[in-house]
Amino acid sequence: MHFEALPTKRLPAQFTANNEFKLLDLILSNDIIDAEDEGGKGSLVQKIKTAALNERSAPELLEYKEELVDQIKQSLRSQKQRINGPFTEFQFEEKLFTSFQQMEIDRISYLLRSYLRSRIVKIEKHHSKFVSDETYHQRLSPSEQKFAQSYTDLIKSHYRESFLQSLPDRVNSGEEDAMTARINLDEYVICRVLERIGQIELDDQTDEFAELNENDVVLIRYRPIQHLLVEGKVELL
Amino acid sequence: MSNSKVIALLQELSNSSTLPPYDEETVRETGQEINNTHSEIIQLFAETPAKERKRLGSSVVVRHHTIARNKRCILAYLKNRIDVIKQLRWELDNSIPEDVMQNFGSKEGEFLVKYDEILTQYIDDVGVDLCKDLQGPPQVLYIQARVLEDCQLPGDDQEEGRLLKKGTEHFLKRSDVEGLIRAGVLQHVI
Repeated sequence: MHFEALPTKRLPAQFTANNEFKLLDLILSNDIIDAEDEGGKGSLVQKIKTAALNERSAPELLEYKEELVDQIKQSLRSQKQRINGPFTEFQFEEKLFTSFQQMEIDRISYLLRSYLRSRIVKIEKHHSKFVSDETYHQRLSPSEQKFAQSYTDLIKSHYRESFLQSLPDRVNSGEEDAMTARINLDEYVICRVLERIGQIELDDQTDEFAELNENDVVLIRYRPIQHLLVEGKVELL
Repeated sequence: MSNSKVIALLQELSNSSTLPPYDEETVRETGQEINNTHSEIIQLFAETPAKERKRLGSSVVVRHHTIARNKRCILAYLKNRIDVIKQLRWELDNSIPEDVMQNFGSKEGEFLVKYDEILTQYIDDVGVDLCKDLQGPPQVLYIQARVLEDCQLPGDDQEEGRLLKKGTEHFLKRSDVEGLIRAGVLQHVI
C-alpha cells in the first residue's frame, strides 16, 4: 500500500484500534472489482493480468479478449464514478479509502493499457501480415482492423513517396512486405503450467518429449505450447 | 558506386541517440544510381547479340545485387527513422520540440501527422488513453512537482484548469501531470 498518498495532516488524534477495525471493514466490503467474479475462475483483475502477460510474451498476436476488455472498462467506469461522487461526510476513512481505490483503478488501467499497447506494437511490427492473412486478421478487434489497414497504407505510401517512386518500374515494388518482420513461432518463451498435461511432443522430427506438470515453470519453444496457451492450460511469464 | 555512402547513412542513424537530419541528398543520389545501374543492365542486353548473352551472367547478377542492396539500405533508413518518429509521438504526444521537428524530411512530417491521426482515432475508438504509464505500473498516487513553465493543470476533477506558476512546487495527482512531466513543463521532485 502507498501511504505517501494519504493526507496525513487529517489524521485524527483519537485514531484508535476501534477505528482501525472500522477502516478494515470499509476496505474489505468495497472491493468492487474483485467482487464481480462470477465464473469462479479467478477475478477480472487476475484475468486481465494474465492476458496482458500472455500478449506481451507471445511472439504472435493472440485472440482479442473483447468481453474481458469491455467488462474491465465497465468496472473502471463505475468505480471512478463512485469515488468522484459527493462525499456524505468528509471523513478520514473515506478519504483514505478513496486513495486506495484510486490506486487500484490506476493499476488496473495500467494492465488494460499494457494489454492494448502490446497488441498495437505487434500490429505495427507485422502490419502487412494482418491485412493479407485471414487467420490473423480475424484476431483483431474492429478498431484494430481499421488501425492495421490505415497503418499499412500509410507505410506503403511513405516508402513510395519518399523513395520508391523514383526507381524504374521493374524494381520499385514488392519491398514493403520484405521490410516487415516475420512472425517467429519458434521463439523461446517462459511459461507456467497451470494443470497437469503430461508428455508433449517438442519436435516431430527428433521425437523429443517434455513432461509438463502442474506449476512447472519452463523455458520452451512457443510452437509446441501454442495450442495449450489457447486452451488456457499454460500461461506465459 | 556510392555503396559506402549508404552504409555511412545507416551508421549515422544507428550511432545517434537523437534523430539526425534527414539526408534527402543521399536518398536521391541512391535512387539515381539505381536508375543508372538499371539502364546499364538494359544497355548490356541491347548491345549483346542473343547468342552471346550467356557470358553476361556475372555482370548482370552483380548489378542486380547492387540494386537490391541499395534499395534495401534506403528502405531500412526510412523504416528506422519512422520508428524513432513513432516513438516520439508515443512519448511526447503533440509536444515534439521544434529542433527535433527540423530534422524531419518533408515526407516524414506528413507521416507524423497521419500517424497521429490513425493512432488518435484508435485511442478514441477504444476509449482508453494508451499513452499514459509508458514507464511501468504506477507506484504512487501523488507526486511533488516543480513547475518549469507556466501551464494549466489538466485532469478531470474540479481543479482542472488551475494555473501553475513557474517556479512553484505542487503536490499533484500523478496521472494528471504525467504528460506535462514528459514534455518537460513540470519536473518531478524526488
